[in-house]
Amino acid sequence: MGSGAFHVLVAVAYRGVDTAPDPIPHALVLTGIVVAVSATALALALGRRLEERDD
Amino acid sequence: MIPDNLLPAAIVLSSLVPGLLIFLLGEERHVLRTALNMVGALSKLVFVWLLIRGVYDGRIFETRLALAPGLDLVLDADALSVLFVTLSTLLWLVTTVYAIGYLEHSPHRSRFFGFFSLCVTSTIGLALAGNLLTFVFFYEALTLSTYPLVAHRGTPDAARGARVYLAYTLGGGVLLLTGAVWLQSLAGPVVFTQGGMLSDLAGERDAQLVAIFFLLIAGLGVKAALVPLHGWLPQAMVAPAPVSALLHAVAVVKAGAFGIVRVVYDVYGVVLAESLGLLAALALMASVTILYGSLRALSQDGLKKRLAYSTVSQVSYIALGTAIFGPIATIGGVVHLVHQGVMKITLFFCAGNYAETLGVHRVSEMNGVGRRMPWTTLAFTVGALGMIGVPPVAGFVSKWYLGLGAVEAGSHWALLVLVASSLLNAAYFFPILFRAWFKEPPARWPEEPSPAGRLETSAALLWPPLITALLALAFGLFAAAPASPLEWAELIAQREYGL
Amino acid sequence: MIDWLALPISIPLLGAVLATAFPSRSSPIGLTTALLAAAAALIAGVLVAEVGPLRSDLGGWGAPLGISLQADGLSAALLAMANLVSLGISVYALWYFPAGSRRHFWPLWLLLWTALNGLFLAADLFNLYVTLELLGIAAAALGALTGGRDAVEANLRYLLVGLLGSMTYLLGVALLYTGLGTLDLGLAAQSLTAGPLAWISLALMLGGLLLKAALFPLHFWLPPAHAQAPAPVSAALSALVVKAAFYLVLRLWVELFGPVAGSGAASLLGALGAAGVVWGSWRAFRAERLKLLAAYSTVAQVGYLFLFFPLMAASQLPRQPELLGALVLLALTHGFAKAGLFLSAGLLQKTAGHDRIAELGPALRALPAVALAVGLAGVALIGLPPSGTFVAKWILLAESLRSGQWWWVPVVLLGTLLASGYVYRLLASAFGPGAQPVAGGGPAEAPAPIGRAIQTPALIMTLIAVVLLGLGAEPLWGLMSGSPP
Repeated sequence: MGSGAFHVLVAVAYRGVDTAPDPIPHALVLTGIVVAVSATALALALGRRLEERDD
Repeated sequence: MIPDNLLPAAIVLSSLVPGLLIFLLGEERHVLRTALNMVGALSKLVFVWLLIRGVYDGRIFETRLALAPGLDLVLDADALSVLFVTLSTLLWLVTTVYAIGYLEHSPHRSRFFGFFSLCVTSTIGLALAGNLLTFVFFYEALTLSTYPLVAHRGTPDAARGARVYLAYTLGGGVLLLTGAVWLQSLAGPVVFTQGGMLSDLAGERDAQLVAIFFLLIAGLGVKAALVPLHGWLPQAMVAPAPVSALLHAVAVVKAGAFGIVRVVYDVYGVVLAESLGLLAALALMASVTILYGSLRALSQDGLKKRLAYSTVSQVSYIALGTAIFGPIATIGGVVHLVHQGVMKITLFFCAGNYAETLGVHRVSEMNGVGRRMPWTTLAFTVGALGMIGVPPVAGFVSKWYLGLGAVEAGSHWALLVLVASSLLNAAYFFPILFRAWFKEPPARWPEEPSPAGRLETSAALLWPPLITALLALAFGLFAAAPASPLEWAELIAQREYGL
Repeated sequence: MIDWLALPISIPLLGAVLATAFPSRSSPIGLTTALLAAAAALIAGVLVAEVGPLRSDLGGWGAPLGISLQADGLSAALLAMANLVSLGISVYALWYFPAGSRRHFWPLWLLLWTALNGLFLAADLFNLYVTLELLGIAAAALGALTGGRDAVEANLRYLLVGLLGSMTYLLGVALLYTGLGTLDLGLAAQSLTAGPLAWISLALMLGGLLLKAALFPLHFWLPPAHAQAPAPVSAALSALVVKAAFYLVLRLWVELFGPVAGSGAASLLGALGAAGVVWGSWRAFRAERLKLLAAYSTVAQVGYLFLFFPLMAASQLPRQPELLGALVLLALTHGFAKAGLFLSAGLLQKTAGHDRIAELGPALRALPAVALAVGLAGVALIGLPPSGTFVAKWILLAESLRSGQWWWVPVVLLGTLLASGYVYRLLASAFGPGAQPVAGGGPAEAPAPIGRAIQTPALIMTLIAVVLLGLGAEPLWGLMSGSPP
């Protein structure tokens, strides 16, 4: 889901053949990636905690 | 002295502030608690006195607080509110003394007197309410403050009685709220106006107005114990006697009846209510209640239960007086607000005395009570005679006006209801009186914690019923005197009918 | 020149960093930060009340290039409530957590606070996303703090659900950016026109946010997460985090999407809200544990908030501020009341060792101040006078009838009756027999004695909900009229 959103954003950044792409969507994507990674890290940590409890 | 726009608020605060302070007191601080109660009750009396004088002179008192744009909390004073406020204040004072005596050695007294004060605050608030919003506001607050009083003893019976009470009153509250909001959405802020705020509104909204009326009456009828919404009242008898006395004479039941009077006279107006057929419907409900209550009272052996059904019946006299078109019936209904209050509270005080002093809870145990407790039984007799309608006790005056008003309006059936009810009243009160005075007392009373000293029971328990019985007698004997309840009722009727 | 809008964000952020760096002193750092942050937020709120909407451009870069903060009546009101409640929670948390968890609690809590303030003050769509994410992660981490299996599972679910919501929201933002070329709220509002772009991005963004705001039927994750979290965290979750998501829905609706969305969408929101009211109230009525009851009650209260949407859509312009004010009053009152309820629940749980409603009688009787707080919270949840809910509910009902959408009325009444039912169940045992237990003569587990100080935050919050907001809320409408129509 997240990757899909990021892809869209990157595509949106296109501003034409010769100009540099629009930086704002890139900022969004980068932030989004950071957030997604942190959230995944937390989720993994919680999942691990769950696993421990199950034993 | 006190600015006109603060006096109503002061009257409300005079029981709110002591009440809140009492909650904070430790159980053992009797003296401080009593002092707070007394200071509150007496200061309220002073403020009310100022109010009476002012209203009689035609001054305007109004306290207004904006809750939201277009929603104002309004406290003001007209003749009807003064009547109810005075009744509540006087009886609160007397009941406080009684409760102090009754609850001696009971636990949780700070909690009790705290909620007691809140209960009176709510009653005063709705008496002084100047619009329907304010009335509903304090009406709900009354439910909240009386529940802990009914549940006070903490026994399973008390919990059950309190639960039933809450279910009925919260349900009624929802109905009242719906009716009130609906009316406001049709007609704007519903201000209590002499002659009825809606009197010029009739037209294509009639069906809605009728529906709203029934919603309002249903919501009010729960507290006023209109059949079939009365079920909570006998159950609530588990509460301590001061609570039953206050609830039945002053606070809850009267609040409902008072609300009905307000809705008919100051919201719809008598003329509109008549033309929509609402008065007829109300009269029917009131009559059914009057007869049903009296019939059920006949079969009750528990003294408080018998008095409870008597209340169900008697409070509907007020509704009946309101429902019969004509100033004389109005006078009868309105004055009965006061008279029934004073008489019924006397009866409940006495019932409490019998229970506390002798452990007597049932009519069948009351043989010869008059020998052991003559003064209490004398007060009880006065109250009972008043209920039946025997002159010169105040009840006679109310019934006289009601009957006269019924005849004048051509409602002869209402007269029949009154007569039948009086006969039934006699049927369930005279046996008690006969037992009390003329039968032999048993060898031992069910439970006599302390034998008769100089006074038949403690002073705090004895004086209140005597005082209220005296009032009941005085209101009847001196009904024609200026500033008697009857005078006030006549003033109210005059202003309502534009005479 | 002090930037009063930046302070409420930077102070807790700084505090979080410090609390992480000095774990042994996390509590004093935490409390100091709490006081300062709350003060800054309140000052900002007062400024808005006096001066009108405020805007600040960080680093001097204005829109559409830089990060802007803005505060109007709506955000000021919610900001004030959130910070006051957070201060209360912070005081309470000082006592609640054993020494070991404190070092973990404070950094996470301060980060959550940062996110909260940031969310209320953000002026562009992307910053909203960032703060939303931070909020969700911090909240989930806090919720799982006790480490118990159920708590971890519930909050993991919360985290994943939240993530789904955020991604959906982000997609919507991306689409909007494509069409409008700006992320600033104000500029976007000017350029947005009705059409597929608007509707799809509305659906995406709102969909994500509704998931986070727990509107029925997207509420499923909430009851377990809020019920399992430690009491102060539950208070924050129900009173604040959910409100923040709702605030976003409201903000986007009022500023961006409302004019283009049409009444069908508004009615849909209202219908879902109605379902939430009934379902949430019913489940609360049947709940056996106090915190679960409170959590379901939150679902119901969120439903009430959404009932305002169809009314606002259908009403003429003059009525809008009145409805908006009532909506905000409801949100504020619930925030204080629910926080107070959860904090009280925590105290009861510590005293009794459990939170099974049927057996809480002795604990209620031992802590009369807590019982009072629960009672007041109950009054606010039912909507009895003199709570703020009574006023808001009156306006809601009146407007339903006035605009002809009378079908919301039975929903509200049913919710009220059910709420009366569950509050009654909660408090009935408070009047049980027996005198107050003697101190020290408690049950064999000998729970920690509960001092008066710790009972204060809950009591104060419920008093605010019931007395202050009920009787003194009129200035709120004046405050709101400074906010955009």
